[in-house]
This record gives sequence, C-alpha cells and structure tokens, in this order.
Amino acid sequence: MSQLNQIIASLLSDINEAKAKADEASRNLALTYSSDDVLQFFPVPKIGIQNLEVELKYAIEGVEEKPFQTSQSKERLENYVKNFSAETAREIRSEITKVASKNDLYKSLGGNYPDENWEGNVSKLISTQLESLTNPGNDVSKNIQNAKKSLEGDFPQIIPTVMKSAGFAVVPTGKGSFELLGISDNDEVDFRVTKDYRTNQEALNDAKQLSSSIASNKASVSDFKKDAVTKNDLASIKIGNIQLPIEVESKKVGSSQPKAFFETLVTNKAISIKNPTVKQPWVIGRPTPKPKPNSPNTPDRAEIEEDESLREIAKEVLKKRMIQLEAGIGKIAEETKSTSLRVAVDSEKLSKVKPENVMTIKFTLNSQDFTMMDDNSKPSIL
Amino acid sequence: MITPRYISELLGAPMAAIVQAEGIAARATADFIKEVGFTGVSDNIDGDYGTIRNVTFSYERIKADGNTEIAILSVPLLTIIPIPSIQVAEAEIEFDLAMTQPEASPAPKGNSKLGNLSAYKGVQLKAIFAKKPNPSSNSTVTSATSNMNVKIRLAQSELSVGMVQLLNILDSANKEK
Repeated sequence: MSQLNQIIASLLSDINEAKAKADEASRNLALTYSSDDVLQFFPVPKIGIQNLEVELKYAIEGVEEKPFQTSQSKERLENYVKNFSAETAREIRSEITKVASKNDLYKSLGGNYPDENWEGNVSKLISTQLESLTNPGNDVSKNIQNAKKSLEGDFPQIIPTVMKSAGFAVVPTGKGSFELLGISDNDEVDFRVTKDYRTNQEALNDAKQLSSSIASNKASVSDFKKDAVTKNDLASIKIGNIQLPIEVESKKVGSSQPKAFFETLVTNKAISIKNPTVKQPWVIGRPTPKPKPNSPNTPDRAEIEEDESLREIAKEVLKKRMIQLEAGIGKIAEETKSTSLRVAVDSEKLSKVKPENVMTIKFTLNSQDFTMMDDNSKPSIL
Repeated sequence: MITPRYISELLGAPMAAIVQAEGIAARATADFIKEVGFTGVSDNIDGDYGTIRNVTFSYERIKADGNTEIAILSVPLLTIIPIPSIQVAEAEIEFDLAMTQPEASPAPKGNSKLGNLSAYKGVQLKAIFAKKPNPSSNSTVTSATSNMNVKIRLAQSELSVGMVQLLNILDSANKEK
C-alpha cells in the first residue's frame, strides 16, 4: 500500500536509472573502441530515448490526508505556539494577581505579584512544553495532554502555596522568603510574626513550637508598642527561651489596652488550638482530600493543609486555554494538510479487485525529458 | 523470470543490450576488416596488421601502336567487397510487467537535500515480466497477467559533449605513445 505520487516518482526515477545503465554501456564501449586500431574509427553506439510510454493499472485503496510539512506550516505553528504561550502566561498572571489581592493569606506577596519577569519566564516554560506541537503530523491531543500534565507538575514550584497548621499559616512573600501568621478558623489573620524565614520548614518549626506553647499556656506576651508608620501594634511572644516579635493591625486593637488585647489573643488562640473546628465535608461542600501518593505521611505532615487557591486558578486557566490550543492547532493542521491517494499496484492484489475499481494511468516521456546541459549550459544532443 | 527485479533493471537491461549488441556487431566488422583486408593479423596484438591484402590480376591491354601487352593490376581487397557494417537506427521495446508489493526505500543518509534526491524514492518498485491481460476477459488483471505496459522507442543519438571530449583525450594519449 503506497501513495500514487510515490509510485510515479519511483517509476520516473527508475527510468532515469535505466537510461544511466544504457549510457554506462556506451561509456564502456567507448573505452574499448579507443584502444582498438580499427574500432577507434567507428561511431560509439549511443542510444537516446525518443519516446517512452508507461501505462500502469492500479486500484485506489483509500484517501490519505497528511500534514503538509513545509517550512511555512512549521513557522506558522511556531508563531501560534509562541503567541499562545505569551497570552496564557499573561492570563495566568492576571488571575493570580486578582486572587492574591483578595486573599489575606497572600498579601505578603505584594500587589504587583507576579511581575512581568515571572510572566516572561512562564511564557517560555509553556512554549518549551509545547515545542513538540510545532512539528506537523504529531498527535496533537496526546502532546497537549502531556504538556498540560507537565506544566501542572511545574506549578507547585512557580505558584506560591500557603501551608496551614493548627491556627498558623506559613505564607510566601514577594521577596522569596516566608512569613508566619496566626490565623483564625476562617483564615483571617490574627497576628503576624515579624520575622523573615528563609525556608517554609523554619517557619513551620516556629509554628509548631508556638502552637504547643500556646496550647499548654506556656506562652507570654510583653514589650507592647505602637508603630505609627505601619499603624500596627507590636508585641513579643515568649515561648521557652525564644522570643518572637508579633504585630497586629492597630484598627483591630481599637480602644482596647494592648496588653489586654494581646493576652486575650493568646488565650483565644489556645482555645482554638485545643478545640479546632472540624470542617465537615457536608458543611463546606468539599470532600476530605485524600492523602497524596508519595507524600510523607508523618503525623506532623498530615496536620499541614495546603491552600492551593492560586494553583487551582492557574490550572483552570490552563485547562481552558488548552482547549483553545487544540482547536487552534487543529485549524492550522486542517489548512495545511495535503490529500494523497493510497493505491495498490501489485498485480496479485489487483487480481482480487473488481474491474471497475481498477484504474489506469498513462504517461509519456520524450527526448527532451532526457536532455542534459553541457559545459556551456546549452542543451546537448543525447 | 520468477524473482521480482527492480523496474530500473528491467527497463535498463534491454536498452543496455541494444548498445552492447551494436558493440558486438562493430567488433565483428572490425574483425572482418582485419582478417579479410590484411595479412598476418592473427599473431599481432599491438595493431600491426601486416600488409594490406590486395587482389592482383592481369589482363591484355592494347597499346597505342595497336600491339598488345599484359598489364598487372593490384587493388586492396577491402575496396571491392562490401564490408558488413550495421547500426541500429531505431529500436522499439515493448513489454508488460506484473508489479509486486512496493517496498519502502531506506531513508537517505547525510544532510544534502539535492545529493540524495535521486537515491531516495520513498518506495522501491519491483516487477516480473508477464503476459498482457486479455481484453475480452471479465477480470481486468489476474495474478499471472501484467498491470504495467512499457513502450520505449530508441534512436541512435550523437555523442554527448563529454563523450567526445573523452574520446579526444584517449586519441591524443594514443598518438603521444
């Protein structure tokens, strides 16, 4: 089973090779003639094809549509993927900015997060993952699914996540560090530990110590101050030998005495840690997340809940955009594909085909089709 | 022929055969000239054919004074007998082929686009010689009959520029010996 164009191309090539065999015979004779005293005066036999007719019977077995692989179609796909990647990165950035600005837990990222540089790098990342789509003929759906899966795998690294554990949250900042927040059951910020953590593990360790000290009523607050610039009330919370600076928005303190406010804050925190509100699935309308495979299942780790709101919004954007991508690539593929006939030419197969399905192609070549160019670029007589 | 052969071989073989046949005919002519026209050919391999073979005869010639004399005339034999020399002016080859399932051609090696164009055909065609299909038969093609008819008309052509140059070089080399 081959394509008709391949068959004809092969036949033409065979004709050229056949003529070359005749020419080779002439060349060999010329060498023999030249070394013979009598034959050297004889004309060397040299034949030229005046006319060649081929009549070929074939049967059509099917019509094949293949992507037309030209540099233009590849360039078109490359441009499309490049623009798509840039637009997708822009949309993900815009959605993340919107969600992050509305969610208190992500305020430390800053109002401009993510920046243009982030968008540019994400655009390149998407573009790299979609590179296989720029080769016409590849399985578009499969490649898009693979690229989507791969990009979603990269999201945990490029999209910040808040880790919550027993009334505390470790939040990422726009500077690349982490902060520790005391949060209510409704994820509202109670207080902020004014310390920059290089890793989320460091912050989680402090969270663990704070939580256990507060729960066992071993934490005490002191050093109450007001910061007029940031409009925050400051204090220090002591847990064992460690003293952590904390701050609360002054408007939350209101007219209360700072000492009384912070002590109540710690007391309430102790109650909420000891009696955590269980978010029942039927109340919140969300099933309990199943433990992730390969994730460490230590008791400490099991208590940590990840807030994936930014990652989820990025996934949603990606899902929507990938549907558009498939349609876009499909449209380009549709516009650049070529149709060819799949034919059978072997006589045994043709013998089993109904006579009405056997077709004939005839072509004729004449002497001009075998003309060569000589040194002066003029056609020589063959 | 049962084993399928490449189409290029099936097309090239009769064309090359015509050229070679002409060469054999030319060789026969050359041998005729050497054997009939010259003496001592058999023991010469370096082109010295010996002396030219003449036909000598005598006849009685009448002189101006009315008397007669015996005249002897000697002419080269080659000038009085026709030299057998044949050349194919035109040839027509027609044959029918039954093609077999095309084979995938190996992909070209290297990066040259034009260099491998002729070598890479996508498919390689093979066929066997077969009989023409019977037009009165209902079945268009049977396994024993052909599905490809080829007609080639050939004529003697002048030597190409390259071939003439080659012969000139060889000729000069012979003279310089």
